[in-house]
Amino acid sequence: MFYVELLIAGLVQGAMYAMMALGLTLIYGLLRILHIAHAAFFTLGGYVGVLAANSGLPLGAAAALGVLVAATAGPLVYGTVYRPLLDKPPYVALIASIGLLIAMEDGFRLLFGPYGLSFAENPWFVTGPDLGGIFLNWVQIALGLSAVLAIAGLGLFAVGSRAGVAWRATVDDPEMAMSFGVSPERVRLLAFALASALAGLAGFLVGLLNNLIEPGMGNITSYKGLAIVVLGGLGNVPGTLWASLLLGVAESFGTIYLDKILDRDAIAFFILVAVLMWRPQGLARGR
Amino acid sequence: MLELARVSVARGELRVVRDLELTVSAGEMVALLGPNGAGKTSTIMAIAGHVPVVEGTIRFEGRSIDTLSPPERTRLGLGLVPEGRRIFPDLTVRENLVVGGYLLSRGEAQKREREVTALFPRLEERRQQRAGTLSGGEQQMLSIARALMVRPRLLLVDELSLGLMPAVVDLCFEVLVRLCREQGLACLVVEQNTQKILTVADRVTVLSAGRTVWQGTAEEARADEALIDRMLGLEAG
Repeated sequence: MFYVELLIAGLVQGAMYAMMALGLTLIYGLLRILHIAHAAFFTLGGYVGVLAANSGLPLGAAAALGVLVAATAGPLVYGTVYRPLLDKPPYVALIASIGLLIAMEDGFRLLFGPYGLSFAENPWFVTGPDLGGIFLNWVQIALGLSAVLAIAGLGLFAVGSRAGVAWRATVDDPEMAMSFGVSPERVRLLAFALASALAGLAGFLVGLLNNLIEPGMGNITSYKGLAIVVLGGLGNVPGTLWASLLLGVAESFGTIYLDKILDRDAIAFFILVAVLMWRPQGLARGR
Repeated sequence: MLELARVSVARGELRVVRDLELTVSAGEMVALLGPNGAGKTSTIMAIAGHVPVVEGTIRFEGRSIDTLSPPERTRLGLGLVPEGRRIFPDLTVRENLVVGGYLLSRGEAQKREREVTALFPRLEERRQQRAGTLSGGEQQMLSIARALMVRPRLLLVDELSLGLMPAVVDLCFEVLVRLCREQGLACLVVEQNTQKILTVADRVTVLSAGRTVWQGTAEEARADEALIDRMLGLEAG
């Protein structure tokens, strides 16, 4: 039972990574930009959520508000920061992204203080169903469910709708897709909206899990997200999902068996270095 | 249907096509020939709207299309089969056709999909296969079928035969000729395979270093193939 609990805890952690990494990989697939500032949208979702919840909104509505604000901010950032840089070499957008992350983090620090905010009430954390001896709280269940729904929804959208097919065509060849009437610009805006929404939701749920929202909370998660994107093969969505779950489970078991040598985050980066030494192209083929 | 009047095309600072005069009528197949670097692909891409025209005017069905974007030209009735096919390799055959018919309503696109796959039954068999895994010939069929999705009145075809088996080339040209004769489709075809194109085209324009060096009917070209070969730099010795 102990191992099952560890496995489930790892899968939940992997689901959270998947929500972050999926957004990063979608953006990389379309624009070849490593969107480091994705971490700030994770934090933004958390802040909007905690402020809304502490002002009296139910947690579900607070989560929805966090997602909405992040989903709106993503396309705005694309339009103001990345769009003017699309014809520049990729490192220009990378530097802009790092600058944006620092600016947004310090913005949060100035607005909400350096020590972070906690939820006045956190019922999802202290309650949850007993699944045959395995206890999961509602936040963990929400994380797992959100990831499954997001992945299934995106999968259905990508293969089952004309807009999704147009999106994938834009990833393959934006010029040809445009000549058939697909708007690459709309696809990019949608990608930023979806990626930021996922990051915002993950940020809110991780905030609930830790009962803390603080300015730099997205950094480690985002770095791990980038590591997962590389592990899964740059721009490869299924590879990213597998790498997320693998990293979550490896971390979960590693915290028990390697805790004398490495802490949780070090385990993740150790795995990244080890895998990249073995397969520099990542576990799956990149785009 | 298509008129190019003193058209000059530039790639960066370099003028790759100068003062080109060209017409294509409904139901007609016009071949654009020339050695490498003559400006054939630039001409096709300028008509499709992917490369800017720096002088002159392109008119389609009497209307200047110089300022229109590529999708606006597609909407107007221009189809493009680009050099190298440029199908979407990660999409299935069906999904490639969905993108080809993106400007149509869903119902109309489905109907059109059945019509274009009837022209190339092989595509119907490969419907759910990833386009990147198709053979070169099947990819060319898909590229033509995708361009036909919007019922173009003018089809721009760049290097159809490149790297393909003769039987596949024959099949593709057979379909294009049939569409020209039966449905009035106009075709402007860039082709290296002179022998083949001279048997199916109605008229021929030969470019060299961006300038027109010969224009005439395919019959005239066939009567003096040596002249055409000389202009293309293909003569023996």
